[in-house]
Amino acid sequence: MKHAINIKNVSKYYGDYRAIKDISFDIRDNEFFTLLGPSGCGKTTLLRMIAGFEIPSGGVIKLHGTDIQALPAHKRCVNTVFQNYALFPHMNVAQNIGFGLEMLKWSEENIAARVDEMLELVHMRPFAARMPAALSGGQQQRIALARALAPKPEVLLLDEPLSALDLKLRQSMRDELQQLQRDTGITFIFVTHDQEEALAMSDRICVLAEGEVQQLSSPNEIYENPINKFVADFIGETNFMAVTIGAVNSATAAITNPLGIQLNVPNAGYRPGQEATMSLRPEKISINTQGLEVNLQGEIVHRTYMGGYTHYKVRTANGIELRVSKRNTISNDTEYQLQQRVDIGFSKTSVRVLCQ
Amino acid sequence: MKKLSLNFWGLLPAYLVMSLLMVLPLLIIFYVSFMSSDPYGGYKAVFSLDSYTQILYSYDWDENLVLNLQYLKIIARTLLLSAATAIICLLISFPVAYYISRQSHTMKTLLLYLVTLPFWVSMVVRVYAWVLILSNDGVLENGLRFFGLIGDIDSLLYNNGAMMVGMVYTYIPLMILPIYASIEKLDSRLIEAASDLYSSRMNTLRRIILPLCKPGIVAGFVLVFVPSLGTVLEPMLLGGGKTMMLGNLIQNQFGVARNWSFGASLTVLLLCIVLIFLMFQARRTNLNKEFS
Repeated sequence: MKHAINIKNVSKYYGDYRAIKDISFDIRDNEFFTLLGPSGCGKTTLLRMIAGFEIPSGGVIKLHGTDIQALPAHKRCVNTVFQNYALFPHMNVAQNIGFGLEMLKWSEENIAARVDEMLELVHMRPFAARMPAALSGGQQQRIALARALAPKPEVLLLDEPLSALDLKLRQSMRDELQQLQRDTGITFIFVTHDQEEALAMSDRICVLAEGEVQQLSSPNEIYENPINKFVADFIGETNFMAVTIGAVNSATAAITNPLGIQLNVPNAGYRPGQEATMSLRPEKISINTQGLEVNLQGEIVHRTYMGGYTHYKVRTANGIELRVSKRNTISNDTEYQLQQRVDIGFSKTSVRVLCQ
Repeated sequence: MKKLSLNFWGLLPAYLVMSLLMVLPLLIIFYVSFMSSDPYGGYKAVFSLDSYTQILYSYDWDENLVLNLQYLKIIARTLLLSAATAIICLLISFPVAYYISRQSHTMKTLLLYLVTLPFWVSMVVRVYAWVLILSNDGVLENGLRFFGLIGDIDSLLYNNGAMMVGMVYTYIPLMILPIYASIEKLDSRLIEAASDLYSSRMNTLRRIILPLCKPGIVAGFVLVFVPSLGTVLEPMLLGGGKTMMLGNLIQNQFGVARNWSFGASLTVLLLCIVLIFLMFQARRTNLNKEFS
């Protein structure tokens, strides 16, 4: 498959500080690709290097097979949607959208037609003559998108474009962005620190931390099979327990765990006596449900009602506190009370053992 | 009611200063400009428009009015030199201000301090320094001759060029500071956004940076152009009194020529030029407000 972007051994130093540590990965054509990580993980630096605002200290970045290292930002066929939109305040909406086309020396009729098409795409046609200052945050966001998409870039870069919007708007913009990506068929590279956003929109997610790729996979894979403790912790919520690897044979490894349950997992090259972490997602544990592999007794010690969900903290007989998330459905909207004795259960296949 | 009177008494000192030091002298000037001149100096309290007609006409030996372009020339020169000064200041100030804005914080403070430093020295002294630099056998001429860049030339001093050098030097901080302020306010992401949208550096300057710095540029232009119109010192010292500007003419009328009413009418004229210019400028700023 042809790649939209190849990143090979790219690093970036600021003085002695290594913001990006020898990263390599490929971004496929026409995919919605997300760079996800906490602030300072290097995701924005990486995006800015693709855009041409930062020069890598080492390595190669290729755009559809061509090395773009030597090209200044204004000669790269990539466009950016900036975090705070960066609309030109002295130009109206139509002029903003047409700016890139004008710089590319499109004819006036073609610019007008393309601007119109873009306004239609982001449902902003009545606003063509408005100045950016007279637009709401969500509207500015759409114009910034239209402006970046107008020159038909090979890759669209989005630098936390939703972070300045309020929750409701953010959720509806998620759907719109995803739709837009499908409609235009342009490769989107989306930078965010919001794991929910990443899970909701992406075809693939690259989790970054401290300038290194932690895991690059589909949202489902990242959530269900996190590769290490950082990823499991950063994406969603989970229960961590320190465990030790017990007896090992060629197929399985026994896990000595604080819950005191008999647990064997597929052997992924574990050594006996090795320290590891066990992860169990709160929604994989259920309360007072029959017929599960593992059953434990516990007591509700904390409850947070979230509407669609209720988050409980259950203390087991051997003193471990587990977070349990229960969906409030038609068939089961029981509310458990504090200090109530409950049975909790989960399936052994829901347990993940992480070595780092 | 009580509050109103408190406001009144509180503002009284300001009213007094404004009326005594601004309004009153202007009224006197206005009054004198409509009086007739006294052959023995000063003015006579007799209404006459002579001082205004004198700007364009003079009496020949037979007491007939004839067109006299002498003063008009001075007015035209004043306008031209002031405009040229403002334009040269702008051309120098923009790159300087841009350069300063790209420096580190400490460097910025230092450079801005250096820009304002000349204000701490008396203007007469500073203009005299230019006399020394430009004079015959002065620093500049000897320097240029030493490097073989010039042969025998007329004096560098006592011409329009020397006057303009002095004016540019005097007023340039008034241009650098407002432009610097507007560049500082400029969001650097807009420059990135422009280059992201295929704009070359030149286009970014023309289409993004300059339009967004326009308030600073206009303010700087006004701050240089308006005082330039009334400049006295540079023509006197660097122009050698050969070439006059409106300021010198006015000074002469009140001083040497002792024709107060003519001096006053010229002052009113200068004031009108400044007011018309400021009115245009205010209208443009109002238009600009729609953008921001």
